[in-house]
Amino acid sequence: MKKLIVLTLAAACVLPSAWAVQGTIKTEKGQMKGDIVWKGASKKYELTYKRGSTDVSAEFTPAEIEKLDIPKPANFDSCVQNRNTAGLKKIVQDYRMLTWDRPAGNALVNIYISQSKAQDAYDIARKMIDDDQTAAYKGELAPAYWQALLALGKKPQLENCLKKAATDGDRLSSARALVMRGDVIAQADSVAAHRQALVDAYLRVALMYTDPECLPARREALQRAAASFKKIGQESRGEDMKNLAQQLQ
Amino acid sequence: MENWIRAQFQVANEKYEEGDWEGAIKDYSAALANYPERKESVSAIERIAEAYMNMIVRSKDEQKKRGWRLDLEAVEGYLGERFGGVKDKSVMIAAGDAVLRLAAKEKDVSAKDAHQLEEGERDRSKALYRTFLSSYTRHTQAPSLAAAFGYEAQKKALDMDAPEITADDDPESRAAKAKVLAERNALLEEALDFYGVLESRFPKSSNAEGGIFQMSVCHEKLGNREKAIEYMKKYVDRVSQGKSDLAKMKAQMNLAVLYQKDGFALIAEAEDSSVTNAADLAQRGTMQCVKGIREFMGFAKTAKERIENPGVAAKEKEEYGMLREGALYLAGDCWNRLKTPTKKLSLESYRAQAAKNFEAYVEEYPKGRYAKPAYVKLGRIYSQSDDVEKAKSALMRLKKAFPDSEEARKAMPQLATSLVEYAKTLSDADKVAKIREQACAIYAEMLENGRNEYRPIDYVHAGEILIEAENWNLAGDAFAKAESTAGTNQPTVVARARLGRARSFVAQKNYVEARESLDEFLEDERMKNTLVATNAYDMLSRVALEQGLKEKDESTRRRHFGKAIGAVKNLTAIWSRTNELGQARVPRWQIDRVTLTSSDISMAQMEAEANFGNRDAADKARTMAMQKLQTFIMTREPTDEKPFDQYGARDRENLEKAYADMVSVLSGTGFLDEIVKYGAAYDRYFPNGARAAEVHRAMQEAYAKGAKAPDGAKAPEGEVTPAEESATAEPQAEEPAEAQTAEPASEEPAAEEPAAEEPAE
Repeated sequence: MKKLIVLTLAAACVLPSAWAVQGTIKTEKGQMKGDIVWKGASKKYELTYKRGSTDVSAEFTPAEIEKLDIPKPANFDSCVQNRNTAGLKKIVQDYRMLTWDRPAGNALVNIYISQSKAQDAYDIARKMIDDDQTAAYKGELAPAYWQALLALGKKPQLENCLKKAATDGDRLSSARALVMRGDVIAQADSVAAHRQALVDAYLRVALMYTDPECLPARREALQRAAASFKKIGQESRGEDMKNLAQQLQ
Repeated sequence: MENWIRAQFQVANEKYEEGDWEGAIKDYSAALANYPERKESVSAIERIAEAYMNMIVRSKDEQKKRGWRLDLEAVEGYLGERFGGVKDKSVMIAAGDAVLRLAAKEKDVSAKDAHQLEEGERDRSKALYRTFLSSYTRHTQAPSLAAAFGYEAQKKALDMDAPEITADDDPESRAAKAKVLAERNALLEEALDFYGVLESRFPKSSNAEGGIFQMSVCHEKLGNREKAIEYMKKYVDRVSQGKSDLAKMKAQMNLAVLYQKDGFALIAEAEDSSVTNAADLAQRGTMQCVKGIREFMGFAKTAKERIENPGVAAKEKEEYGMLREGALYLAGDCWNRLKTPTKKLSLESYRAQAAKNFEAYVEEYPKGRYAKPAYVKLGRIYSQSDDVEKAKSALMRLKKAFPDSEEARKAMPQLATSLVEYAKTLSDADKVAKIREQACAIYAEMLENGRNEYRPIDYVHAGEILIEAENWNLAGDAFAKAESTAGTNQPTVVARARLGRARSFVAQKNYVEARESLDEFLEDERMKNTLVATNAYDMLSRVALEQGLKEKDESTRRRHFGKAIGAVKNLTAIWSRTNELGQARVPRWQIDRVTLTSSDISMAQMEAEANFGNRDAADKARTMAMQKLQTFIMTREPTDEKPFDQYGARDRENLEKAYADMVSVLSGTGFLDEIVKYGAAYDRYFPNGARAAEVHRAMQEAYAKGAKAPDGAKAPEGEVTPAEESATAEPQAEEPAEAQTAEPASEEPAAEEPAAEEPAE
């Protein structure tokens, strides 16, 4: 529950910490604007605002927050564009659980993956997942994290995440997880492996994830399904999949 | 809004009802694109799957069917996985029910389309059930389904035979048994999987407790004793929480039984000569058994207290009574089976404790569930403790309590048998004589008074044991009684009785009378067609050989040896035929062993003729032996297709004997190169063989006389020591077996050459 702490000390003694950022928290009771900090130990947000000359703090659990509105960091776009890993790392650190750590972390993890630095990618992702376990299987970070797990050969962990995403993730995460599952299975490159990749992954997405939000994943699934159909000797079906994928471009 | 959503699926529903499967699939897919995860969506997905099933079953277009099969499995998998975790419980349950219905339908589809399915598709139903168990952990049916599948697999496994692979098995038998065992074990592992799902995912369900118990049972059947005990302990812990005292005690009793079994398994391992820590294993096993005994006695005491407690309900008292009964008996049984003395406990003290427990048991439960084996074991214990009167008393009590039982009928003869067997373990001649006398007295009483009590076969058994006790007259009486009381429909019993008489003569070394009995037996059309006739031929070969060794007259001597070889031939012919007809399964090594007996006889003949100064006959016999051994070796030596490392222990023994005998027979001939050739072969396969020294000696002599080493062989080192002029093997009393090797070349014409007979029974 929300806890209102009225601080009677002078404002100068109660400066926001270095990780506090300006933002707005919206709950069912209304919204409040102030300096927001994520407190990792208690897993709560603390918002501090001025009431007159007094600093007032309130705490919120993630479940109480309907919307967390944090302005984009000024250097976010440039860091992403320039693949500035140091800058992105700082954003991840400063905006921990404050919305922008995710896209920054996602970008950072993807950069590390592209540079074949799977361990670095994994380390960054794990820090974010430690704050929010669901990040391992839903949201923007998840697919990049899976890539890191795959690159590091952490197959059991990866399979668990994909299973969790398939069952408990949002539809897009679920579809993406299935595509990745298919990729892992198809690595064996045998007829049996491609058949299984179709049944347990690509075809599922192609046939059952037809809602618009899953479009990016469905497109990928159709392309991969086309390749797998050819591997198992069903070329015409493969062509159908390929054509459908192109129609969805 | 809800109506609108329902309407989206309605068009598809109508097409489905009309049997327009492809149309229905298309329309359902369109509706699902907008509403993918509602309750209506679950029905739609299920109907898509059913539509694919209908199309597969009805179509004859194989290519289309293959494509639909993939789509069907993709849709099933989606339903099986995606909805297991949805927040809305009603959607989850609806989806779970749909998965179960589809899994049940898949069995039908597979049955109708079985021959068309690719490898791996046949288990689709099972795969769906597994997916359900993995994903629908909140579904009410999940625990009972896991329990049901576990039980089904376990029952299939336990209904199968569990063959034991022994050193005597030839490679074919071993492979066949291994296959059966592998299938059985796979089923037990499958059962463990399902029960494991119960334990890990549904620990609070009512099925979980039973599942843990069954996991202990499955592990025990797989030979995983530690795991069996581990799971039984878990089961005891669970039962101890909130269950009745009776339930707890039953659980603890199961654990005590496992400790006992573990103990005896450790003791059995200690008896394996290849283990290096036998003493430690035996000690641990004994301590484990003693632990089990203490537990049993504890249960017996606690159960008695409960029975005597007026506050305990009658039904519970009955169950405590059963527990107490079982515990008392098991304690006695454990003591009885212990064989390894410790610092504080000797074999005698084990027996004394066992007797004490069994006596306490039969006093309380004179007609109890375990009373019969308890009396029988008391009889055995007392007979082994030299207390024949007490043994008799125990068995009389058995007869009184269970007059019509098989155990009662066998009681006295078994007592006599156990006395004779006990006497065999003693070295004090006076004691042996006394015990045998007691045994014979029991048999004499049996023969005198047991007219309506014993069956003809019981008299046959008595006769066979009396031979071991060296009471020839009584043995003869027993066989005569067997023959006179057997009906015309019991030719096997009569055959065994007559053979028993012959065996009695053999034991007395009265070969003339033995031979007469055997000849008479084999002339009787009814007798020689029984399977027991193989024993007659076996005995005849030995008797005729003994006669041949001692016979001074040359032609009679030759007839004896011919008879012996002919008996072996007939024996192998009968065994060949019974194998072909599937009436018996005589292992090949056993057949080979008897084939080698034929060369043994020739070698014995060679020696006998030489002793009687008949050089020509000795040489002919030697040639005969050489030919037989050569034929055997040619058909049995290792090849590329059958290398030596695939030979069983018995096959190796036979081959070793053949090589060594061949070297022995060749010694004293001019075939020097052959001696070293077979000697080198012996060395190659049996470098540390029992007859290596003999073979090396023969080879050294051959080298000294100018033999050339075969390719790849080197002359054995060491001095040349003079060998015997002709080293012949003693004819061995081998187990009768059937030969599959080529028939030996024709022998000296014998007085009788019995033809191979058709087996009858």
